[in-house]
Amino acid sequence: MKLFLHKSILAIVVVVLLHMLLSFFADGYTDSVYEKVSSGKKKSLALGGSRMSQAIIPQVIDSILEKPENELYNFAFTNSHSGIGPVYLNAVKNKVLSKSTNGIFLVSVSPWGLSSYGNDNGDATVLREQNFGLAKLSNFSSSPNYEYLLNGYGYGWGNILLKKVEPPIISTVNEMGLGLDGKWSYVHNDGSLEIKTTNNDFSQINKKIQKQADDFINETKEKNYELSALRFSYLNEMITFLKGHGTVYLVRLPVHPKVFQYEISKYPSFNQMIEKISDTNSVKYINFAEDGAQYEFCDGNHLSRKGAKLFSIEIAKSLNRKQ
Amino acid sequence: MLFNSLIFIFFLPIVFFIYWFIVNKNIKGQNFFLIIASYFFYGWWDWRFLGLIFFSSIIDYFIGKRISEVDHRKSRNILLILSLVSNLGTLFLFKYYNFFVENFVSLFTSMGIELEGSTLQVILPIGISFYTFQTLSYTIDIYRKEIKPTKDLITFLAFVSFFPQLVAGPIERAGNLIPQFLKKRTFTYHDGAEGARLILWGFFKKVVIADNCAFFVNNIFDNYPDQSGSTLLLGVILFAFQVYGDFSGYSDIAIGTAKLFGIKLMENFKFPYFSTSITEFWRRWHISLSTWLRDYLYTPIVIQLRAWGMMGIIVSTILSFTIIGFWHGANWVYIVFGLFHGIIISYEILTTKQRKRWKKKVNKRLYFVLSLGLTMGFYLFTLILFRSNTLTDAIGYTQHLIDRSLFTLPMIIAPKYRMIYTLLLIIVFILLEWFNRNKDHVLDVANLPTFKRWGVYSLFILLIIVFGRFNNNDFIYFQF
Repeated sequence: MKLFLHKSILAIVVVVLLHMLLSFFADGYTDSVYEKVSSGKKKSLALGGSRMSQAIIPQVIDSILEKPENELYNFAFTNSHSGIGPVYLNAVKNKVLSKSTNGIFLVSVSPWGLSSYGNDNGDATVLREQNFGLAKLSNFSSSPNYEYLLNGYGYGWGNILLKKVEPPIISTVNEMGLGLDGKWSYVHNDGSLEIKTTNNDFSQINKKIQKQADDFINETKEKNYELSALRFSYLNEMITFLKGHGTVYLVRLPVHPKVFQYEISKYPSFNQMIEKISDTNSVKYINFAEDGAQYEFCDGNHLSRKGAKLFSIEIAKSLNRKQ
Repeated sequence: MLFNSLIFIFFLPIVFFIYWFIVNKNIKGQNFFLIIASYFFYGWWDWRFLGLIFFSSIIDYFIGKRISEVDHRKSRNILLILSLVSNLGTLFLFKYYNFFVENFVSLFTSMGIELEGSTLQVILPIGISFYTFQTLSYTIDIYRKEIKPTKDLITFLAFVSFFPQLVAGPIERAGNLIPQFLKKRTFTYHDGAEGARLILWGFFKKVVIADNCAFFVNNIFDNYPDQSGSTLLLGVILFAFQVYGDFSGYSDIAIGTAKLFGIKLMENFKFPYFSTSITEFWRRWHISLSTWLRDYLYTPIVIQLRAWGMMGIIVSTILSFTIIGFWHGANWVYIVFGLFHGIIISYEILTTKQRKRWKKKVNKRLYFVLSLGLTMGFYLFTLILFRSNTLTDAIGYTQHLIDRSLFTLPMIIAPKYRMIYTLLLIIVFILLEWFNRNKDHVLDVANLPTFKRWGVYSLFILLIIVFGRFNNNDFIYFQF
């Protein structure tokens, strides 16, 4: 028994130390969540799902804003992780600098982020985000964030290194003409998510966008999205909380025209609903949904990095006008 | 609780420590502690179903005891029927009731008779098919006078609920397990090291092989109408490795964990993908289930139908395998899966002599390769049924597969590099299994020099850390 225990304990200690070492390599390449839950607490936040995560580049906005000291941070995740609800509200409450009262908060409002799969009947436990990483976290700002790596990451921690070495390998092999194309994500220090691909020829990508827009529409149909009264109540609660820490703007992001047409047909009164919330809570609502044709998308639903830069300039100008 | 969850990493050492260092003074204490640990293990998933395991155990404990006490044949029969009804009744209620109601309603509706059947809103208790079969075998063995009932309720409860094999087998026999719970267990370095090696190998199969395949399999099967024939073929091949890695991985972890507690569980897999016939495949795949059905279903039916000669054997075979299929789930896809296997095994029984003659005539290696190819081809075909949600899906998948596009390159939905390393890992896995097929398991490296042995362990630990997926993916066989 002694020999077995000695050897087992030695093996366990080595494995634990190896994991601790690996955790220090975790960064924006690890996945689309880690960087955001391992950066410190923030004064100003951009909030929402994956559209917001890719559309808002805080560094660009800070450089244009008349109050750059706001230090905006993109704390948007995905539609699955961060639909407006108790899980995301808890994450936001933990991420905001508690003493700050003069930040800015850009809250993305989209029909999907305010919908549930089917009728949730006001039951928060059935919301989709309950099955994802943020629901398992209490700490959103420590580095390394062991809680996330243990409960939410979902891979062996060696994958952290794999994710770091994959992009240069794929790029090199691709440049050698061996046909190894690929796509990977990177979360920048400001929290913005960039989807990189070996194929940056957007004339090629644009050909697929119509189909990707259709895919997105079909996906929403399959998932049977329904606007949720519960999520709207949490949106109100989130606005009330954020108003205590600064100025809140509701933002409807630009989407591909095809998707926008679908959103209008499915949710004809969505805009009025948001306007009502904005009036009730005395916060400003900025609607870019119809401007999709002006921007470049990496698929039918998300802005490309180039599109995001242009949009970030546009929203910064808009914020300057509204302030 | 899942073996591949964080909680299990803490649970196992704590249970191990208490078992060997605190309650090791007497056998009853150890068994009682195993019951507590096992109920905790199961209750972590849903504590409400603990009552079901307890109820099932108590019924069979007392019925088994009573059967051994009475000599009157009729009374023994009644008691056996009582055990069968309570065990299979519970299984029917939770697993098959809705299936039968829905199918009766559909049948009558198709005949123009409107029926309203009310289905039950119940979830399927994890592992119910496994522990039900285990307790059933106990009473049947007593009825057949093959074993004597245990007088110790604690031992019996430990036998039914022993956590390593509670939810996904191996389906143990009382004759093998109960005597182990009745005698003093001693820890040996050999058992401990062997257990740890099996756990390591099981984890590799589950989190590296099965869960990486699952990523592609789910994508391909969920979107099969949009895929080329070659992609669908790749999908079913990957599913073959997913289901094997998943289930045999679970069995290895279960057997390895049991060894850490001084308990030897039966072997459940013996390199099934190197079988040269479907008959041989079932001797190597889910051995605890196939032997269970052989002993408690197939043989009794063959005896009953012995007057029918070969026809009796064929009927028994097809019936037994259809039931094996149905055991997997209340769905037509499983019934047809079992039926196909029964038919092919019947064909193999009928052509045994013919095939022996062919074997003598043809080059041995060629015969092996052809047999292996045909066996795997048939198996892959039936796996489409096994993975599909409905018969319509299975037919649709097969129709799309047998298409001109079968002879094109597969389209990879996910990043190509991920597919490349998954395929490389599968190739390594096949080679490891092939070169170690005469051993108990691939990581049977006890005889290697220390340096090489630890090199092997380190390599597998690294593979798990780098390529493993820990998304808390359930084991496929939990649903059965």
